[in-house]
Amino acid sequence: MKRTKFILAAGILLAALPSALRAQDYFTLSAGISLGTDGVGAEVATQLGPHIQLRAGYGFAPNWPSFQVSELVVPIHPGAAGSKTQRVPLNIGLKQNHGHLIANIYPAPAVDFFFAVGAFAGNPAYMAASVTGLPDDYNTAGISVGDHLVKAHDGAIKGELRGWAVQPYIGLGYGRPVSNNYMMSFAVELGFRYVGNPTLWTVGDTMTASEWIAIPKDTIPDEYMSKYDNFATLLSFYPMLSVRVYFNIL
Amino acid sequence: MKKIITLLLPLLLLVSCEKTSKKPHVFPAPPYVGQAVRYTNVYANADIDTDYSQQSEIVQFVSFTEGGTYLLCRKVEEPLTGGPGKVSKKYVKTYTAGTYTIVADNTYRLEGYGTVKKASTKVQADEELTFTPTAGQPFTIPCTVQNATVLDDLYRQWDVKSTRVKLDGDMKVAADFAGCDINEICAFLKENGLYDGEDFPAGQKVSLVDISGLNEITILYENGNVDHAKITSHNLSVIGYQWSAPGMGFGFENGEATVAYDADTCIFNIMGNVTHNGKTTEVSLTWALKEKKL
Repeated sequence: MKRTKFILAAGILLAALPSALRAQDYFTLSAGISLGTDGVGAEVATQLGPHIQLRAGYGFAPNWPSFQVSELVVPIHPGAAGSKTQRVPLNIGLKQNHGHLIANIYPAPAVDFFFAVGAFAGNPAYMAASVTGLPDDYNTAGISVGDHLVKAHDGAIKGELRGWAVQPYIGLGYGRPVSNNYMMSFAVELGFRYVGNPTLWTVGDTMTASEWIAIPKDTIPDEYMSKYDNFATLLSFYPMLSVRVYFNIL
Repeated sequence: MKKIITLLLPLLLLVSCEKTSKKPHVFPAPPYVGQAVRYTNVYANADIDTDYSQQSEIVQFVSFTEGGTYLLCRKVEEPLTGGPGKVSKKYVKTYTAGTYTIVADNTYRLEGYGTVKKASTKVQADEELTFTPTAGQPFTIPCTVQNATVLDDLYRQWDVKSTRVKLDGDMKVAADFAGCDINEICAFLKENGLYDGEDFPAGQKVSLVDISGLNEITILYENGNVDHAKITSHNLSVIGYQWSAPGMGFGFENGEATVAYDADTCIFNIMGNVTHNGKTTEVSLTWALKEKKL
């Protein structure tokens, strides 16, 4: 549903931009595609004078790319610490489903270096994690969180890191989304989004349905929580690195 | 300014929330709504040898619920050897349950038992019932009559779709099971070091739960065993109960159950405790109940 909303939003944006901008003499509109830590995306951009170019777009990464970062050792029977153990992989991946509105500020109009300021909005999830290959008993038993039971489904437990729904962004880069000289242009960009205080979400089962829930910190075993705390501050800043290609269309 | 607003519109759309409203589920009336009745033997508390010297068992009461479940309570003789040359008798209450149908001629047909026939067509304060067991001789007993007067969505036959066992100790752990197989649940908890108590007889899998306006909860297992509780109080979402069997275990003998609904599912929860390695932990058992299709 959210994906449909994004596609709809991008459609409205594309349709609305020309009529909104047509009155400007210096107007040029471009459309581009991007690849980066905000996933695969699309953008439209315009220039608001020699110093500012405004970009709006959307990025999508459904737990991609995903790679193993660690291995956990778990008992075969979750409640019996003395039982046989099994090693299971811990994977993380990008989880992006955001629209964005960003202004590129060019301090010197003749130079393609820019500062970027803006915001990302949409699904507050920005990173996915999963533990797979868990023994059968983990499909039955797990940790109780209020009315929810957090357990494996088909041997896997999924998680997400979530931040604010609207995440401010600053960055710097090189290139121009809207070029006055060429039909095609490039830009590279490096920056970060401030996502707020990240929370860990996972799938919890009520008696009738499965839904995403926030995991209270006091339900996470201390040994894992201390590891998480080491990275908690860093996780508030989501790194952005992207490469973009644009084509002038108006 | 217009330009900025136009660009922002899609972003506002992205962060907008979606709310859906659910209509409450309407449960159909159970098959015998308004006809739930309990017949209690007027001699239920009498001395069996005095009043029924020729019988080795005596009916205490029989209930016919709105959901279509009968519950038959009998005192059954258990011979005991009291020592050399001395024989005494002991009577224990046993419960038989199953589904029933009303057939012509004021007769109830009880699955797995036989028939019970009323002497008159009108339900009166006093009634005579003639029991005709499939195996055994017919007999007639005088009864008092108690009708259920309260209607509630809860009062019907239910299937247990799933069971959640939750242990609230040092760690808050829980486990979900399809249906309610007591043997499976105990085996799992034992294997995971969460329970070291007694084993239950094989086949202790719930086949139906009946909750009735006669203030009764009846649980019928696949092996034919029956658990029965009296409802001591009932407001909208809390039920006080008292199990008839003292050996129910897990501290479930009496207490309060909570009831909630999620669409067509009734969430029925009871609290108790379990002792493991000398440590007592709070335990709750939650059923997801669906109306039993007859």
